[in-house]
Amino acid sequence: MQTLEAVNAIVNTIKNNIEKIGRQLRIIEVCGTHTVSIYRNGFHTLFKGYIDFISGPGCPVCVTHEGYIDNLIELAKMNYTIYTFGDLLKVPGKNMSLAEAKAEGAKIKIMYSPVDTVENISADEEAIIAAVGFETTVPAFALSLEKVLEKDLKNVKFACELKTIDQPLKVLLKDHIKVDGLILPGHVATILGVDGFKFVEEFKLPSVISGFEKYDILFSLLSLTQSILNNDFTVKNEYKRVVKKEGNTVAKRYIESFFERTDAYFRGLGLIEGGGLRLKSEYSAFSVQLKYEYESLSNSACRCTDVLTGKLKPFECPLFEKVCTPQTPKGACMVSQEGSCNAYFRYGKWK
Amino acid sequence: MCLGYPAKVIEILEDGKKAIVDYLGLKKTVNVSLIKELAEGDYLLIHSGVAIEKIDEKEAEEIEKLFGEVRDANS
Amino acid sequence: MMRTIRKEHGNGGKQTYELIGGLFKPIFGSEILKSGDDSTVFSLDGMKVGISTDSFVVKPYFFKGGDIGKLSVCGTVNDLAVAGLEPKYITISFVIEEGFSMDDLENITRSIKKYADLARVEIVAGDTKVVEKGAADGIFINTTGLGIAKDAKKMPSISKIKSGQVVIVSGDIGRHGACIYSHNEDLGFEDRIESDCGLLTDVISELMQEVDVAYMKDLTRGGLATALNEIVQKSGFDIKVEEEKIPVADEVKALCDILGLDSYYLACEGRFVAIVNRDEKEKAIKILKKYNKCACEIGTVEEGMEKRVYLSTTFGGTRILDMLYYEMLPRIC
Repeated sequence: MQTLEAVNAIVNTIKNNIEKIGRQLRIIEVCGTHTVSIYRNGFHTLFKGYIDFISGPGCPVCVTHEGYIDNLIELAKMNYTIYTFGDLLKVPGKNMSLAEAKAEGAKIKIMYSPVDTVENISADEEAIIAAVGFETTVPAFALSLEKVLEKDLKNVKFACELKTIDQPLKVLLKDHIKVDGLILPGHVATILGVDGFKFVEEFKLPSVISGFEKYDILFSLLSLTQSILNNDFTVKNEYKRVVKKEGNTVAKRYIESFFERTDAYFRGLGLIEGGGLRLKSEYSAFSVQLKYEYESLSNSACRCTDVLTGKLKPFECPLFEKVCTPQTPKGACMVSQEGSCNAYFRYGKWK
Repeated sequence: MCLGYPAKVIEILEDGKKAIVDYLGLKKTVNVSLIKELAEGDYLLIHSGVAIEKIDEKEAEEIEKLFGEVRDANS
Repeated sequence: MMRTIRKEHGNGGKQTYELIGGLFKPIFGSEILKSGDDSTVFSLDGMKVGISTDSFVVKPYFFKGGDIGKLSVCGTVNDLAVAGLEPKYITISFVIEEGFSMDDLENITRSIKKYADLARVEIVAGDTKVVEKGAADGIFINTTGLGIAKDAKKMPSISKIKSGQVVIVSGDIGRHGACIYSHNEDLGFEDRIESDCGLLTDVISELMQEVDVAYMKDLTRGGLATALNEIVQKSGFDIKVEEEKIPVADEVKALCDILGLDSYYLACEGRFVAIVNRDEKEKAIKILKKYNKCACEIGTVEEGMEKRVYLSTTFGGTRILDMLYYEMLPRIC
């Protein structure tokens, strides 16, 4: 649709804005899908010297504690069938990943759509749905639970490790990181609305809600650099074709009907009050109790914590590339295709 | 954490809870319980098998228009 | 190396190479094997011949655009063709699970014969084993092919690759991988995507008659990206490709966007890349376009020390196009 001339003109305007601002900008893309899109489209080379892109905590796989994986493997050993998104399959637990457990005979199946999965589970299968994701995905699990209740499927339970984006983002901005602006997750915003991100204005930081196509990111960078130049802290919506002020009210009602806030562990940020979602107590019969010790992350040399909080670049981690690679990941940032280290390794790394 | 794709509603099924959608010629069944007042021909944003919002076509056209304006201003 | 075999050892990417290079090649110790590509070319009593072997385990056995029988002939014959050989003979081995449908077996057999005839190869030896229920997944087929060099001087070779040459692809990519995914009933696709499974003998024969081809590689498991990475690893050059130019059919792109897959890593079964001198690229593309209108130039060979494949994005940025590292899994993030 667009010509390279138009793209170059916008890129130059963005660069001019940054030159007027007078320094290299530190911009955090909160969502892992943005990290991937930025690298895949070569934005890191296009704006080299102008923008330092920092990957945020919006990567549900990256922030999941290895104890969650251990719990799922324990459940698999008890003869449950575990249904999981493909994203989670290679995350290392203390001893092994779900993929390795599968290779040893555990019943681990890949789930593409939680609602469809629940519809197709047979009555004699004791199933656990690994519910992982942020608010974009929570409605899909709400719909699945609705189906389970409708059909009274007593053989289906949820291992809930769902997260919210506002609380960890507040902790990150307050305690951990200095940035010039934020690229906000367009699909979480589709559910929560622009209203769901108004809290960012309290931090007096320019921000933009962005879509994920390359031209979305380009226009969002234009808007964001403009906001930074003008010291404009209002949340800008550059994804108007799907993000409304109030979000998707039907989806929000579904979330509120089935889930309530709980504390949750975020790798890199620790325990975050209200950072997670669990099934409401009236649905506890469909919930699996998870047990893990928050602080016991196996590989102490792994610097995912610092990478996730933007303190370290992937290549600054002593394990990066030498020991930690996508084939032999030592931490979640390398396992997840959205993780900083994985994205940098696969798309950005060269001398 | 949010892969999504745009698709056009071809046929609404099952009491309005499911629909067949078309993306670049490939057709798929998705859940549409989260969408109010759905009509055939509407465009939807789909994530993990569920339509999470309608796509406002007028806004979608804005990007095309903006690119056109930038291109013309620079030619 | 891992202590048990994992699925990714069969992905055609890095882990497959580690298995072959780390376990098989050292133990087998054959010099000919070490030098080999998808086909191994060697001299037999003064004649240049080549052998290739391949096993086929695809499910579903019948898919849009082909079946396991057609695939088993095309896969091996194409490996011989891209080495510059004329395929002559083929052997077929079956491992069949007890309970497999006789009608399905007959249809597969007829398909093998049909494509062997089209490739002008003779089926000269075979074997059949039946194993008890559960010991094999339906049917596995192995084919081994023998070809001869028509003109030993015109054989493509890694050593003929030079900086400045052009990389051409014979058609749109990722179809076979997308086809298999579209057949998966759990995914809820209403249509099936057509596989690109097909013979390359005629197009390669015509190409080699008219153009001095430096090197060819057929795209199979691991897709375009893996094949290009194998070329840079063996040749020591870099390759730079342009995103805009790589042909991907709409329905393949759609499936990739829906499942979070990357079309550059999806399997092909009837496509190849050719490296030719710049002054012959137009002639080469014209010939390839007769067989598939999507054939086109996608990049260039460059002097480099990194042995990398670079992708220049449609926005003018650059990124690495790496080899497939693990099993590509559908994702929601």
